[in-house]
Amino acid sequence: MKNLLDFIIKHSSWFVFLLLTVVSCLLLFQSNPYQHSIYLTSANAVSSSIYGLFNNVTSYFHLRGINEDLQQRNAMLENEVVSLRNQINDYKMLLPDTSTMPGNYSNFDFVIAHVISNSISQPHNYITINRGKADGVMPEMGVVDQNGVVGIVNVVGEHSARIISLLNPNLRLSCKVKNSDFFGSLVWDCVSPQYAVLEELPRHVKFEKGDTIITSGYSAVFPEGLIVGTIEDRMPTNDDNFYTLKIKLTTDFSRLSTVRAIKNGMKGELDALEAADYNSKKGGWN
Amino acid sequence: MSANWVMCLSFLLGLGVDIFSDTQGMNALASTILAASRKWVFQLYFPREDDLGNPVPSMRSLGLVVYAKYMLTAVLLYCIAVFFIQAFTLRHFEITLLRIISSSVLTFLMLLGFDSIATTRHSEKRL
Repeated sequence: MKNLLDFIIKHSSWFVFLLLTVVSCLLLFQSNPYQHSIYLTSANAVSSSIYGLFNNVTSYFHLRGINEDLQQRNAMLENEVVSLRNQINDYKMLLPDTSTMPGNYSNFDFVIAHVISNSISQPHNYITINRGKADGVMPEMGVVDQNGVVGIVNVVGEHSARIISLLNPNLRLSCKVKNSDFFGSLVWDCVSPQYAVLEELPRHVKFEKGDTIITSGYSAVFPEGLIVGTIEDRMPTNDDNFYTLKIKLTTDFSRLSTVRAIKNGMKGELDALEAADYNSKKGGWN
Repeated sequence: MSANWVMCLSFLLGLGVDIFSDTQGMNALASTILAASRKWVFQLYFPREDDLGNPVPSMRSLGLVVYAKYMLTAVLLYCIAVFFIQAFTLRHFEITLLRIISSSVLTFLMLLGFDSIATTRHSEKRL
């Protein structure tokens, strides 16, 4: 026993090194997002308050560009609203007994937040916002800004939250080509912060360069129709049955400032449905 | 300071950096590796000092050239560890290599700058 203790004391630095390496590797390889302790990410109170302070100062330097962006977007939206109103009036004249058209967006509500920490150059990028549980942000809420899709909320603190950015290969977004129903999987390929890759698009789809890619609505996280990007090019692929397309993202990740987190009223119901289906399948195998 | 305390301290420092930058465990692992290899890097560059135990590396006790060599090795080791853990694949090897080299150069220059500010002139001893 004494010899064992002497051995341990003599080589104590190796044991300490081994212990610390094991702890770091545990932290590194915990990929389950529900296990990420909120103390160890930037969503905790200390780091988010420090980031908030820095952001108060630096955000003033970007205001001019953001304002111009917003004005352009407002003008576009107002034009769209006017043309849609005209369309509705035309339809009302043709079909006088159509009362009200059901709105896709009646189930969705927004929480507006400011980005206080962002990164675009790492292999896995995360964004921190200054709204948390107390403001209604919950995990797995989709986040968009005025240009396009930003990411999905991952860890939520009391007054801050961390978002898995679209520039993160762990995030796959279900997207489709506008005006068609063919859907594929959008994922970032770690090369440039302006381009992502749309995979698993069936080969018989007709498309042109410049076609818009929108969210397909096949998840409870993002509603249908949110613009994600435009088709830039076709990439060479090994798979004979599916296309891989290079997509230019409309979101400018280097200038994120204000984002909206989408509250989906139907999410609880859809999640319960999926869980019930999974449980019944499990029971059915017995 | 004994080697164990140095390792624990560097682990905590790396963990602090990780908490702020959303990279879990990456910097902690890299700084632990750096602390563990510190003794080995000493033996590589310093004259054999068996009677001194754990010498404190600084520009004063070592002279500029030896200190610069020691720091470059240590910085290179840390950057290699961090960027390889971050990438975790050998796929885009050129990009990883570019990151390692540019980070090492920048860190080395900055540390050299900081240390020369901290060095006071009156501590030049005559043996």
